[in-house]
Amino acid sequence: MLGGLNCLKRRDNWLAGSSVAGMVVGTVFIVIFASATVTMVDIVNKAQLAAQVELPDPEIILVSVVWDEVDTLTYTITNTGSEAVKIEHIFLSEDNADPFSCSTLTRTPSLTYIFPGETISAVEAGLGASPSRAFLVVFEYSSSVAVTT
Amino acid sequence: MGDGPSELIMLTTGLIVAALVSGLLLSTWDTMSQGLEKQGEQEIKNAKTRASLVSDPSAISWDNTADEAFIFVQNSGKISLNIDSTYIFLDGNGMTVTPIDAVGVTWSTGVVVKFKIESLTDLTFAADTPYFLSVGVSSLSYSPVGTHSFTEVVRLDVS
Repeated sequence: MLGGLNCLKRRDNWLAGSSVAGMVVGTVFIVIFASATVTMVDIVNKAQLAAQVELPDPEIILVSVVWDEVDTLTYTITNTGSEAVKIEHIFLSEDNADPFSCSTLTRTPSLTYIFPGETISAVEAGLGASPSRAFLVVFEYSSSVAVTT
Repeated sequence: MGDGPSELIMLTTGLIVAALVSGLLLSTWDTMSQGLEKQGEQEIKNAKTRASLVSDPSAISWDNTADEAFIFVQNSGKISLNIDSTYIFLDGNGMTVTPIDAVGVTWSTGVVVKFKIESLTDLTFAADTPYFLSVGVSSLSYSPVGTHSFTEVVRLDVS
């Protein structure tokens, strides 16, 4: 009789031990998988940052380019965009000549940056003949006008 | 009598199987995470790597005798580029690209580099004909290398 009771008691201990061990192991697995899930979600969120990379998006237009009889070309440039643009990043060219930075010209006013809404004049001197067309590029934005006299 | 040990065996077996399956799952999970991480880093790098044509696409001088032209390209991205990694195709023809007046390989944001492009084979282009100009650039930094390419229709001023 006592032997039977002891056997039942031992069996209950085994069952209780198994349950506790199962719970502990299960909890450990849940923690590991939860941690792995959180890490993966974090990595996926980081991967989404590529879409949030903000590149320079300037909008600078050539309002006019006027040829003067004293062999000078006057560029009128306006920032119609929403961000300030460094003048040295603005490149001009006439017809098929090599482009040059706007910062190499005499400018009025003599700014380092052109802010949204601002207009500047830049004068190029010493040209032999009037070009027919002028072209402006700043990053991925370009503008072009016919040269007037 | 036999219930205790048999449950222990079952529990141990269950734990071993669970550990093996979990290890496999976690390994797969880790591989996926690494893949996503690398892909994300690559996409961010590519997004920051940009370049644009500064030369007037309506009038690019091309010398039919020397088979060469000069192209101006601006780094319009957010990170420095490697000048020596630039490649240019004109009308599908791979060009030999030589940077002019460039010091070193670092190509900072906003800077314009003049490239001499020449063909090793004899090419004859016609004036007033549109051609495709493709330019590819790579970031200066590694791990990973950002890449960008663009294609523009250009008109050649043939001489």
